[in-house]
Amino acid sequence: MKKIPTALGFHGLTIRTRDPEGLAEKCRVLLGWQILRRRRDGIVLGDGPELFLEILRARPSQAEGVEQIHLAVKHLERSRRPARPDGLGGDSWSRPLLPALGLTLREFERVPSPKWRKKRKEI
Amino acid sequence: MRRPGRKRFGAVLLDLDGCLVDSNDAHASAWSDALAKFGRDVPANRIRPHIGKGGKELLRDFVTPAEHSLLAEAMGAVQTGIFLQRFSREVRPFPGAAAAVRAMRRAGIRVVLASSAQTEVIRRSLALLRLDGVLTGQTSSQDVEKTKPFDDIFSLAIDRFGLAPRRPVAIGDTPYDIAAAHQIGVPCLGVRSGGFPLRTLRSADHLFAGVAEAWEKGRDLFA
Repeated sequence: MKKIPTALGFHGLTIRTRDPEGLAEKCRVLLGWQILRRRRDGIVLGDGPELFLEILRARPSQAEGVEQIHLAVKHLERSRRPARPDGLGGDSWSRPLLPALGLTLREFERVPSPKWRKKRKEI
Repeated sequence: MRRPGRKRFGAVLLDLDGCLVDSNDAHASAWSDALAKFGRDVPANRIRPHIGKGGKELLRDFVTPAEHSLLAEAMGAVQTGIFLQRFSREVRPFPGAAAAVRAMRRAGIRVVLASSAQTEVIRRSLALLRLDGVLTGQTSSQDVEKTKPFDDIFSLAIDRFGLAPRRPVAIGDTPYDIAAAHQIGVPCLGVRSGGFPLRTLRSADHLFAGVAEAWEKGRDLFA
């Protein structure tokens, strides 16, 4: 029987656009999300690795739109594909769904890197 | 004094933290430091009253639902790592608690460690207490989906070790032990060694200073 990881939930999207600042501002107003980090090629909105929107600059040759869907799973190690540790504190692997759309499966295992961690108050 | 006509307890569902080992403060501190590593600033004194719940249940009060569903396991693993690093420095056995457990076993009482702790924490604690091989058995948070204050750990322990005919009693230091036991009609002896305020333990069937006193002064409750 094929062993598949158990999906826990959607936790992130990567979007390519020619105007990352403009889209980030629109999303910030619509969702109320704050900027988690700025990168040379884009902006990440959200509070942490559990729910984020990564907005990257599209090169002239690249299409605008959703580029990557991030799903959190359990038992990623059961997959035959090798998983790699990443900065979000998980082990993950990615594969293409369409020519311009990828899927990343991630099992959270560790403390996220400081870049993915925002100081949060008590709830 | 013996109580005629009343069946005495022939099995014990025993909690670990706050009952056998003085570790509740260390757990709270480790949770605070673990949450800080995930960006969540929660002082240990806010977490302390929630110690005794399993990790996932405890976290519900301190993180968002999104963090809980995706990061709770990672947060729990980090907390366990921090706690184990500090274990030898901060965790101490309660005087007389392990001796009371050995005396219960010598008296023919089945004693099952029914804890919400992680397996490695239980292993280290039993080694510290020199109770390896003394207990009838043990359960941990890994054995159940829902931890205390749900009854799953106690229910599993009763089923797995065939304790029902022996009239089991729980011994715990938190209101979550009492709630879990009472949900399935099991009496609970409360112990104050875990540092919980008296008002939170009032629903216990009997109250003692610690496990050693529960055995000494409550001897007539047991078979």
